[in-house]
Amino acid sequence: MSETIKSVKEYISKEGAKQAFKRAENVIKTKPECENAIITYSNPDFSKVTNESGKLYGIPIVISDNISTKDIETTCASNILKGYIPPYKGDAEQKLEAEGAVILGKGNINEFLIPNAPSFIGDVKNPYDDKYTAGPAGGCAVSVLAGSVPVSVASDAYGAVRLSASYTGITGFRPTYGAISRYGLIYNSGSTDQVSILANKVSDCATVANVLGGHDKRDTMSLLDPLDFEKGVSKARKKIYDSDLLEGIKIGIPENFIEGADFEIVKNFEKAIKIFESLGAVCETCWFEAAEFSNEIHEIITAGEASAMLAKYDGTRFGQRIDSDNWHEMVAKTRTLFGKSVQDEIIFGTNLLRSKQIQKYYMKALKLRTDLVEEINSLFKTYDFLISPTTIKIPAVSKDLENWFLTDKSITSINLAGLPAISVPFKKYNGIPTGIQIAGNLKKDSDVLKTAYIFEKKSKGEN
Amino acid sequence: MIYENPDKVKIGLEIHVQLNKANTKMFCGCTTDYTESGPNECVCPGCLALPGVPPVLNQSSIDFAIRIGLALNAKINKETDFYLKNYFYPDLGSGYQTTQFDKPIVYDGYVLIDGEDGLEHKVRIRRAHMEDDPAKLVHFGTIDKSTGSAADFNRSGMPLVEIVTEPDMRSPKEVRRFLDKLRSILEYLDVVDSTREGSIKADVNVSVQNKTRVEVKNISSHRAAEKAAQFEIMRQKDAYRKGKEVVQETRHFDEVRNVTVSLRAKETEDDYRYFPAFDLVSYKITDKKIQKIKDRLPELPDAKRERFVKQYDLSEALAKSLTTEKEFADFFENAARKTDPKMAASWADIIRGELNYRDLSVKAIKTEELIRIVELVSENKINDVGGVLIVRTLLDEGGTADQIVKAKNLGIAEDDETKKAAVEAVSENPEAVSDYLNGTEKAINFIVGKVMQKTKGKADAKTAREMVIEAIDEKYNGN
Ligand SMILES: [Zn+2]
Repeated sequence: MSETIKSVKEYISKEGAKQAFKRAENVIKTKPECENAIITYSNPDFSKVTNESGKLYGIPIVISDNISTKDIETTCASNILKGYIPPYKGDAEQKLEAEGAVILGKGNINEFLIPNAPSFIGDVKNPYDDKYTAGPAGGCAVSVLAGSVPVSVASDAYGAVRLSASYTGITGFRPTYGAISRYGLIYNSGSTDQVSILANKVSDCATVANVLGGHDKRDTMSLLDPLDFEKGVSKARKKIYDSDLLEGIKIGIPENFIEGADFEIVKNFEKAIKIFESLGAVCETCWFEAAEFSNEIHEIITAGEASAMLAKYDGTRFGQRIDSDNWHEMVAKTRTLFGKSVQDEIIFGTNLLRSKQIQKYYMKALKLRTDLVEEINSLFKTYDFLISPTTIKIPAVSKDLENWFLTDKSITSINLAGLPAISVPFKKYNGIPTGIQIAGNLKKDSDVLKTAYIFEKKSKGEN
Repeated sequence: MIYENPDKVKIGLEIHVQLNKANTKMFCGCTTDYTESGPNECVCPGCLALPGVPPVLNQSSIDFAIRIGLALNAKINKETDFYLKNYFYPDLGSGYQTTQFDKPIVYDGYVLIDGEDGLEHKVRIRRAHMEDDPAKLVHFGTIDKSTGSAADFNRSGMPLVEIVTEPDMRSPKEVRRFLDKLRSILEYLDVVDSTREGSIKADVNVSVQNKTRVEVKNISSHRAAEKAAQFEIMRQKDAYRKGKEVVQETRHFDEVRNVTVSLRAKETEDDYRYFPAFDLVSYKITDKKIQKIKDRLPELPDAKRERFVKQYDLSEALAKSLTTEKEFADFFENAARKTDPKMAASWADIIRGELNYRDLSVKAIKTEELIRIVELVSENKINDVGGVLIVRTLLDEGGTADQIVKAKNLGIAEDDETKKAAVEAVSENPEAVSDYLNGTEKAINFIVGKVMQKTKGKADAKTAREMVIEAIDEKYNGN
């Protein structure tokens, strides 16, 4: 089923893994839209790429720069981590290599993936209109779009993968929270972040998710039972999906996910609904009350967690340091190496957690998050999937990224609930691609992927 | 008699216990036993807080905490969770400590100690919670002229239990007794090796006359805790007597001068921004689990003491002395099973004194030697003086009891040897004999002394006395 990967494999079988790698590198280094896409190239040792029967043998892959890779500089696109070379392999790197994949390099992202924090090497521009950004995981998305690599492994913190997929017209899949190990994932917000996949095709997402998934005892949040992303659907469902239809599938459209969307985006989305209906699905609008505050809850929780997780960058043990007479001053100076938006995020989070107001904001957000999860669970009692435009906004203007805010309830509510969701490209708005998000219930990843696959097939040529 | 506590002394303790007998650190797979390792050798990306490593809670540290809770007669929280405590310090890699907040794993317990009044005194345990230890800092140079510091992350991530008492101790002596008792319990539980540096540390909170509470932090020995409390009580009483106020503050105990000194007073209170640890799930503890741990709990000092009193017919004091350390209690009991328990107990207690004097652990002497000493004494082959000499020689020079008896010629003089000496002594000291015969009982001691001289102390004093009387009878009464 994995289509692009298959075609790359065919090439490799003729030309060899090293040639495929060179070709991939060449694409990134020469195509103008790939400017800033890679922060560090890997320079792999091909004598160690030996698993020819591996599912990803010889496939070049870009890993986002907030995922730890042994001996390859990992910066989270931040000046503060410049020069940091991890001494250990993250789980993603381990699993990809075990299946024969070759890491091409570290994809450029927003600094620590924070939505309005530009990368320290510069933002990745949108290939469709370079006034705009390619998204928070722009380097990863663009390297896929340009045809350098068939897949990129990144993290969907703040919806980075789905937003970047939507902005660049590729596919971005976020699995159920815990389905892929976070060992090696340098997260700010451990409760909302999830290793995710960017690819040209839905099927490639499923293939790579199967490589990355499974229980990892090094991550407390790792699901005990592995999900089968390719074949994890029920028998009855399989019958329906195998006919490339969505007969009898119930789809909910949370009205408040679309609130405030531009007319054009709504119009595109209505066309998508028509496609789902033409496949036999029953679509109806619904109201997701708790999502009314999902952006605020998400903002408070991610900032609070980030203020703690970003504390380890103190210049003592790794990364950059600005020396000073005493330790506390050294830390204070070193931490000015964070970009302005990251500093703002830390200060915001730090304030939220102050004992005088933690009840008022952070603890309240945790409570509201529980309500949100309950409500979305009950929505999934009625509906098999929730669909919406992935985002109702056009991408940030690249040079104005610092003033951008994440305000998509479709993104934040899914992050808070830890549900599987995919952004599939569908049409454009003002010349920039847009995506349709299909979200499913917990562990229904395979159903989400199948439905996306059927939609992708049916909507072919409508982008 | 009830202890009046005239100065209304109230002392509470916070005791940090390293669970250094746990198989791994709290959130990674590194060992907790780095005593033989060089700095930063027992570390991994997790306890070094490198980017990208999620914490995984070591279940055995939870089990250890539950054991401690049960042994402190406390309640176990059925649902416990962790919080992050945020602050910057060079020993704290991640910039936060993982600790517990409003749901400590253990709460509401007590420990019984001997009170000032000689009565059993209850020290309530408010709570005990889990947290991880930061790295250890080593400073070079002096405070005035520092040449640098280094951090050793071997300790980073060591599981800790912090036990917090109510201010129920009324004197420095009670502090000492509480700490001794607590250490004894913890060692019985096999959760801590207290011989390792920094394994048990205490903060001492002292107030008098129900006034200001002062905290003395980071005290590493029981003796120092007692001294610190002593000094604080004196200092505070003195201040009030002079009409001064006592500042609420944190002080440091100077072990050399036996005084507490004020640490730089903070202008603002630290805000550690405690918030729920989002990377750890809240932990449910079932009754079944608690029961399982309870069933496996070893016999604790109080219970063992009571049993020794009953089973071996020992005095309370002797049983207490034997049961303070579990290893020592086992040492005694292994001997008691094979020989006369009462004798074994008193000889064990003698050995304990000799061990303490030399600052040795019970490992320095084998149970077989205790058994042998009891046998030698009960078979009259050596006397008590010889027994003590054996113990001392064993500890100082090594060897076995039998070897020492031979080498030092400690064997009790055979009866004929004593008899011979007695006959000689009687003939050589006619004056003393006549004094004795004239009713001066004490004169016999002089002759017995002569017998002991002749036998070089090997004679059994009682036998010697009997034989001197016999020799006098034979010589003067013609019996
Ligand atoms: Zn470790």
